[in-house]
This record gives sequence, C-alpha cells and structure tokens, in this order.
Amino acid sequence: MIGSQMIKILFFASLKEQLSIDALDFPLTESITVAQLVDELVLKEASIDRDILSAEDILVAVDQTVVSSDFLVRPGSEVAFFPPVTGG
Amino acid sequence: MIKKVVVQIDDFDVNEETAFLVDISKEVGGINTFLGTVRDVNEGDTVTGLRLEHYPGMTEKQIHAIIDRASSRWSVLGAVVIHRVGDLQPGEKIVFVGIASKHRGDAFRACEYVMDSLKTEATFWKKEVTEGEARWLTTRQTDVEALNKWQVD
Repeated sequence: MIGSQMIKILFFASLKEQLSIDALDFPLTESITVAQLVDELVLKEASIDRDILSAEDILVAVDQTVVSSDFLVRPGSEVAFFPPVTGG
Repeated sequence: MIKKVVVQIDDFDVNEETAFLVDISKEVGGINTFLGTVRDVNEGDTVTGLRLEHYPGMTEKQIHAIIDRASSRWSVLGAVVIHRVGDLQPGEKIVFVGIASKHRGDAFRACEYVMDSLKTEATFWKKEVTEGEARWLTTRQTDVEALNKWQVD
C-alpha cells in the first residue's frame, strides 16, 4: 500500500529494459506536472536517464489513463511510462 | 450488454467463447468472431517466438472502455475479448474478439472496431524472437490507419 506522500512509478516493455528498472516508489508531497516529475526523477534517481525517459514516443499514464506532459500528478498516484503499444 | 474481458497466460477455447456469446440471449441473431494467431515470419525474418507483456489493471480497463465505445455506436448484446500474455510460439492463439448482436452488420463492424482499437490503444507490448535476436515491435502505420478509418467527423 502506497502512502499519500508517495507515488508509485512503473516502467514497461523496452523502457523497462533500457532503464533496468520496473517500478519504484518516489516521494511526492505536492502536485507537480508530468514534465516536472520527469525532471525530479532524472535529478534524484540514478537509474533514470533523461534521453530514455523523455524520448519522443514515450507515453505516460496517471492512475491508468494516458495523459499529456502538463497533467498534474497528485501524491498517492500511480504513474506509468511506456513505449507505443503493439498488442493484438 | 454482457462483457467478458480476460488477459491470461493460458490458452483459450474458441468454441467455449462462441457458445458463451450464443447463450447471452435469444435476441442474438449474429455473432462475429476474430482470432489472432502468431505468424512464423515477420518483416522477412523467421519468428521463433513472441513474448507479450501488459499493464495489469489498465489494459483491462481500456478494453472495457473500447467495448463501451463500440456499444454506443452499434447494437451490441454481448462482447468477449481474451488476450494472452507471456511466451507464445508460432501458430498459437493470441487474441479473440467476439461480438453478439441482433443483426450481422452491427456484429461485423463492432468486432473490427474493437480489434482495430485494441491494436493501437490497449497497453500490450510484443517482443519478437527471431533467429539470433529478440526485438520489441514498433507501431505499424497500417494499424494506425486501420483505426483512423473509424473516426467520425
């Protein structure tokens, strides 16, 4: 169970392999945009490479809905980064 | 409308799923089903296996939303979507979409719409194993175009 001052971050598919990480809990005490969150992650997490995470085709979902980079992430959210989908 | 959405590692039985759609209601007059399988050749290379990953929770929610959109556009009495994940071999079943409607036109269209939407929206990722290497697949332009044809102005 994730506390309200944390967010859960997930990585999938090729992104997960490139970063060598599938999930992490990250402290967040107030709402910030997805773009600001990417900056924070690059600054504070050694495993996060900016070029990989902010590649043009990478999609972001907050609480399981795809959002744009100006979307506000609230404490307690689940944030996922992933490449374009290829199912079916 | 009855919905059945399952993401699973195990194989499934097409006859069982079709029977489920038949049994939904005596109102059902047409059922259209699509079955996707693993090809043994892709982009000129021999494919020896496929690994499918998904985003548990989000994927299922997306498929429900896709079916709801189909249902708002066409008459849908029942819908079944089953998608496999994990390691698959050429010839194995990957995905099943079945739509039950009163009339065939709705079943045909809703089934194709659900399949086209699933391919470009639902959070699944395929990694293909060819002779000697494994590669993540990228979005096909033809899949994007297939979805775009459903856009209403």
